Amino acid sequence: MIAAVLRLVGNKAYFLLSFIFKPPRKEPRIMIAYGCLGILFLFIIIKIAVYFNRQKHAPTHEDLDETLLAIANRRRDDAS
Amino acid sequence: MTKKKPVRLRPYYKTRYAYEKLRVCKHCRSFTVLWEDKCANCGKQALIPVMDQARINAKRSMQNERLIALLVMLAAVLFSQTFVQIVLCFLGGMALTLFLWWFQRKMLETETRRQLDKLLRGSERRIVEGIYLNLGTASAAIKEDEQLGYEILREIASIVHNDRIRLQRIMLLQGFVLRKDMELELEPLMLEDFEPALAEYIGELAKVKRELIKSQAIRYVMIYEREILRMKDGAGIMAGVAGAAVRMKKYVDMYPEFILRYVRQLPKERYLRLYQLVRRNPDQSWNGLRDEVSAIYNEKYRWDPEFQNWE
Repeated sequence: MIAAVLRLVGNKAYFLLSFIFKPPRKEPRIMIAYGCLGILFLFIIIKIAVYFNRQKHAPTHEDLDETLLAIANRRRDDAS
Repeated sequence: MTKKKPVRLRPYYKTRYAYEKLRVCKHCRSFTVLWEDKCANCGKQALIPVMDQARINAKRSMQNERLIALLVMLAAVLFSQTFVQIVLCFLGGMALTLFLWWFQRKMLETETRRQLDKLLRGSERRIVEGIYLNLGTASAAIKEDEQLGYEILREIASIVHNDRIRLQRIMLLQGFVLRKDMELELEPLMLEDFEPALAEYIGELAKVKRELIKSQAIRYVMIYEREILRMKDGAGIMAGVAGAAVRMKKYVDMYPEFILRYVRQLPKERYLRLYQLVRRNPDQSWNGLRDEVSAIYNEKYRWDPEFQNWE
């Protein structure tokens, strides 16, 4: 039942998309499905790489303290 | 002479990092370092520590990423033709999303710190406005209740480090009766220039809480010795600091000439401490301090039983 519903919704989506993309005739929809999985896979790989990079350059607690003290005391120094 | 007030100061919770004192209002995004329940800007009870706000921001960002992953997975499922393909796309998508979720959990601490850094840098103006608001609260409080004004300034001083606030705190402290059980401090209040109120405060601390007199305070009174001696009871302040210094051999080693100048003015109890130190270190002369201690002993305390039974 669920498969039937999904198939129906998928057919509607395919019909709408065909006006824009005009996919090739042979097994077009499954290629889009695999393409989406590929995009998802790439998205997650990129995200993980971004997280690793951020971890390398993440501020420490002392850096955060310095940032706050610089903000709080910079204006005070300017004012004086 | 103004009469000093006996006060009971609110406990001061020292945090490991200064940013732990800062709180942000979830509603209007204004900042404060005070302990108030309601935001002074909008009146709502929505103040949370900045680290909690950063954690919320980090989790929201990660949630959006998971939603994007789920949407792409849903698209893959929608475009599947057979039931097997649907199941494969669903399982594959879920596995990738779960892997992303697991990885995000490991990175949450790092992301939270990054978000806090972003929050601080992006809210510079608001932080400064919050500090000004807190200073206004302190000024208003000082006029009505000096104790509350001092407590507010003490909180502000955790992130604002300047001599103006230090001096205000010292002036307020001079109006209080200082007791040993009070949470007093000295090092955060040290000024660059000479200030009689600070010298008086150091003199008071030498009587009630001498463990707060450390190298920085001793060097301060040594640098401004001439100015302090011109003050009323300046010699008493200097002798008090010398008496506090003799509690540790380290300070006797570092400042023997200073202690030598005031050794004759030390009260008996402090002189006894110095005498014990000198007796325990027979091979050190401390630039003549040993001889002077011996001379005073022979003059005043030779027959004192406390000096016979000190070991």
